[in-house]
Amino acid sequence: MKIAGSDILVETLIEQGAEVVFGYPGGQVLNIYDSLYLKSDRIKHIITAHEQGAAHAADGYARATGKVGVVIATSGPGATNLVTGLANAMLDSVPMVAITGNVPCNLLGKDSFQEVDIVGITIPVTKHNFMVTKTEDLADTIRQAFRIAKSGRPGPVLVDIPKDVQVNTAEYEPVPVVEPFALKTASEEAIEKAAAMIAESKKPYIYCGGGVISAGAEKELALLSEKMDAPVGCSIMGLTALPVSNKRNLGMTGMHGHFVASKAKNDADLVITLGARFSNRATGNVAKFCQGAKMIHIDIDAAELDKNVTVDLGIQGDVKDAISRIIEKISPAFHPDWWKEIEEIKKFEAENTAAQIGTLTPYDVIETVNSYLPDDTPVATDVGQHQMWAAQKYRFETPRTFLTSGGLGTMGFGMGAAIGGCVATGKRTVLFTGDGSFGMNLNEMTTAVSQNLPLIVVILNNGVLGMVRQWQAAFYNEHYSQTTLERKTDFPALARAFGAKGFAVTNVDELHAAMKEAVETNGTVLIDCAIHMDERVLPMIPPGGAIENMILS
Amino acid sequence: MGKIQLNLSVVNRFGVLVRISELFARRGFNISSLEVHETSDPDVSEMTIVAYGDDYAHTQMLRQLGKLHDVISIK
Ligand SMILES: Cc1ncc(C[n+]2csc(CCOP(=O)(O)OP(=O)(O)O)c2C)c(N)n1
Ligand SMILES: [Mg+2]
Repeated sequence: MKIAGSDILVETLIEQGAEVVFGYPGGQVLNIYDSLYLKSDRIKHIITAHEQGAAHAADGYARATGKVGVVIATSGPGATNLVTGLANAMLDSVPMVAITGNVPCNLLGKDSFQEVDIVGITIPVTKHNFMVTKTEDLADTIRQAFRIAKSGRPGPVLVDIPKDVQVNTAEYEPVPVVEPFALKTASEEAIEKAAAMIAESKKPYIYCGGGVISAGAEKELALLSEKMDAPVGCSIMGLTALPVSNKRNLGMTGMHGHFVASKAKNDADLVITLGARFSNRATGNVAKFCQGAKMIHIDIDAAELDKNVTVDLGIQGDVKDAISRIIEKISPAFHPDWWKEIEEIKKFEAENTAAQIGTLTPYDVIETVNSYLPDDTPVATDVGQHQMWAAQKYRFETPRTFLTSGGLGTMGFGMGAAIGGCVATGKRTVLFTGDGSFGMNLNEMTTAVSQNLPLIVVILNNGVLGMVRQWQAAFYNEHYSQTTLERKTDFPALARAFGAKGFAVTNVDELHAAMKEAVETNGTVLIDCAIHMDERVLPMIPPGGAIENMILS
Repeated sequence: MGKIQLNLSVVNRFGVLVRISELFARRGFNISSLEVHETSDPDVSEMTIVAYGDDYAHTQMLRQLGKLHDVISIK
């Protein structure tokens, strides 16, 4: 039977496993919204306050579950509002499908009302994108989009659908959920070489990126580190791959990572990198990066091998498969001397890192909030100092519980991401945000409240764009250009205006009281935490610096 | 800086040229010459790109192009 393109679209979304989609209606997606209305018992649509929020929600949904997140927007401004969300998902390799409407085919290229070339605009920020010009092609294009989004290294795919393609009819036959393209696997020779290098190593180190989580290789990672007796350091995207309680987990490396995690990597004689791309924030000065170590890099994306860092052994392949095969080839090792060295570094870090200064310190906030939440709580962040403090201090025990903008560093990501994570898991969710970042997309409080989401928004309120201020203090003669906000916003009152609960706290006791109430609340709660404006994120490797330049105090 | 010649077989669809040239621009590689030909298969075009770069640039061009869904093969 022939059905309208808009019905084909919605049927195909359902067919491909989309249970919830995020979006915002408009002129060129009216037909799609009509189909969503008629099929609302089979697919849930959540309207956000802004398309950017919807894109981040789809992203948070995908991060929390590994499923493909879906966002829908109208043509023109609706579509351009997705761009940041797509770039964010692209840089963090998050599987997403974005659907945009466009003007009918006969009006394309005429600068029609709300016409933009969203396919052209989003080429650099999507894994792939499509414009569908015939209704007959629609179902297969959507399937292709899902397939590309979740295959290999995941990423966002946009499908632009002109209005007439939504209106016209075509045959539709449901098909099963599309399988990802077959994964490349490492060659036997490469696995043997890696195993031989591991056998020779006295001071091995595993550097874990987000690819380990994408591949679902968390168990294999733990086994590998155990069998090699090797410490594990993570890029920000790799956090949650290994529980914080695992004794071999040294935590985050890089610019604001733990000193021990970066120093051990620097001092190792072998660094095995799994599903990471060596971003400049993670490496600092690449010329001085892990100079003394032999390097193995395993990634599903061949283009990442030797892109930023030249390695001794680059292996293209699924990390899950590669790790399992390496584990089989190696014998259990014990490196007590290496661990003694690492313990010394840990001690040095503990003794030499400057203490935080305020009455309610940033670490107090993270730790106190953490103490009220179960291990499987989704934890979202915005971008800035608060993000780094959360990455350093939160005790992540469960994979996919950290929803943070690693690659793009998108202020304003947090609200949408937290909503997506909360909707996806049905679990009470926490957002650590900053007073600056929250200002970017606080409109999404409306979404959290209207959906009655059990979301706790924790603002680490320093009254400044703290991360930028920290750089101005360190490198720009304390010229605090445009980073002292001097806003008078009453955040708890604002929360109440949105229909949420709001608290302001200035010390740990008040925070305990607020958290007690927050975890008993069936709905959205905001806690405004007053922290000192001169708190710094430490340690810090200055941009372009190396481990010896790391600032601890 | 050696001469790099890439012979691509690509899907004949509007926008393919943009995707490929955008990739070169974004990665900071300059295209010296570019030709597109029809083939006997109406769904497939052939593209010849000449650029200059070192081994690093050459490898990156091949691997980044290899990720484009409209690129069928590269020689
Ligand atoms: C959209 C966007 N604009 C600008 C920046 C640059 N930037 C990075 S961190 C930061 C300050 C963030 O301030 P806030 O949210 O208050 O967090 P804090 O650092 O104070 O914890 C800025 C402006 C960014 N990352 N994203
Ligand atoms: Mg701030």
